[in-house]
Amino acid sequence: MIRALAATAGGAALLVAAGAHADAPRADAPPDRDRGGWLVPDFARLQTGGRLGMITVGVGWSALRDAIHVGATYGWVPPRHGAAAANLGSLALTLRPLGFGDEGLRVHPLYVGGGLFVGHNVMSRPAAVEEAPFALWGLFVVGAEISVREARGGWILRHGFFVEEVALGPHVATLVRNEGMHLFEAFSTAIGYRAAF
Amino acid sequence: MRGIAPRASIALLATALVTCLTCLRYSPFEVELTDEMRDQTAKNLAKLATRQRAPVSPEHPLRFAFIADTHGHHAKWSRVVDYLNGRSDIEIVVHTGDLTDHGMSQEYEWAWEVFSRLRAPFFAAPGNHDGLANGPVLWGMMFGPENFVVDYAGVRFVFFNSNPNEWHRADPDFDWLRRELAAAGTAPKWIVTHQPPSSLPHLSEAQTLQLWRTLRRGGVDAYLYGHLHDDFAAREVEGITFAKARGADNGAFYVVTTDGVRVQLEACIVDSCVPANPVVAPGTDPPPPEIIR
Repeated sequence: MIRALAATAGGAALLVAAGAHADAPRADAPPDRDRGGWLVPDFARLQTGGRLGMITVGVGWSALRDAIHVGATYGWVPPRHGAAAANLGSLALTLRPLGFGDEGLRVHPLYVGGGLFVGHNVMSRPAAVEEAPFALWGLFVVGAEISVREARGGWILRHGFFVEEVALGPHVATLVRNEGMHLFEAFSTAIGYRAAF
Repeated sequence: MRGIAPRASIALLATALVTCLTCLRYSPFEVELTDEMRDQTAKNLAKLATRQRAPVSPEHPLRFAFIADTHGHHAKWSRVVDYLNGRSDIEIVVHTGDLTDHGMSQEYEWAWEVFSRLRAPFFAAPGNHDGLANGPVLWGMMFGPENFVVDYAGVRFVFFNSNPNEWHRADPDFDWLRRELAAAGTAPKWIVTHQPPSSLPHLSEAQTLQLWRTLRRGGVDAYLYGHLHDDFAAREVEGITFAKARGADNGAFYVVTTDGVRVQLEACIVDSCVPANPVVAPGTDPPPPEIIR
């Protein structure tokens, strides 16, 4: 995971550096420019992994100059080995107080968040038994992101590349209850792209 | 430099993606187990087949461990495994199910990491939690059939899935149970299963009566179960010893000794065992209130 994080961050940094030299930063390009009020999301995500889907899309809103994100995702996992396809959803709030760089290149080396995970219809069963017909669990996120300003203008304001470690409630509960378990056993890596509008 | 940097960055990103693809997990309900984790029942049956063992008798008693409901408590269970590995008299270890909380592959992996350390062959019956989500598929991969028998030392252990709801079955497979009990002839017959002999709403009243009749007509000697997570309890009813394991959240398990007729139980917490012989109750039909939960 650390290897992947470093490689991704390094690659993104080089990409950003190449682009950032091309044009000077735009003064009118704040990191969370609000288009159309709260009705229009401030960013969209495309990601994979993190136990949130093989193909996962999401939208979200940012505030306080990108220090707070609220977002929702939908993830799909194809059927495999006789297991049914899974439809997965999440709703998360992330706090990103550590951000540095200029408008051309911004780095959020660490952000944390939490929210809810929903696994739809994968636990369906007769209603007479106590468990719910879907999974509704807590969700915990630790991540890092590098973003670069879109120099050509247009609808997309910034391109971000992120790596997140995601843990679901049952895995965290097991981790807490069992002394000696490795932290990374509860977490799973997600990587993705975020376009800020 | 400006031409090299984008290409280098793309190469690095591609490297990161490829590296990451080996550590990505797409769903908590994924169905992924390594070859080492698969086919545990067959592998442990093969271990047993290599043993030379006289039939159980007063001269050759059989001693085995019986544990239940280890889900979510791998550290305690691991300590039990350490204890059992230190005892040379434990011939097999049986588990009455609920190795996982949500039937997730990560939980199956965690369970495997513990029970695969056992020196003694290990056999498990499915629990209701093991059948959640894609649990039935994972169970099939890790263990094999949900109903199976182990013939050892002249005793027939019948591992039986008594969780129709979570496993999406109309009923437990009573026909299979009747056949396997009949096929055992006069051998001692021990049922290893998850649900108590009466367990609303997991078993309906009709299913409970059918189970009870099958036990009596099949000449069952003992019925080992878990599920309830309360204290140890053992009771002999109409010649059948019913033994309920305490949940393993505090490292509880039984050590069972039998000479083929009599059953002796030791109730254990991690590494400390005390005798816990079954209370004899008068025969009744349906099962007495003490075992209806």
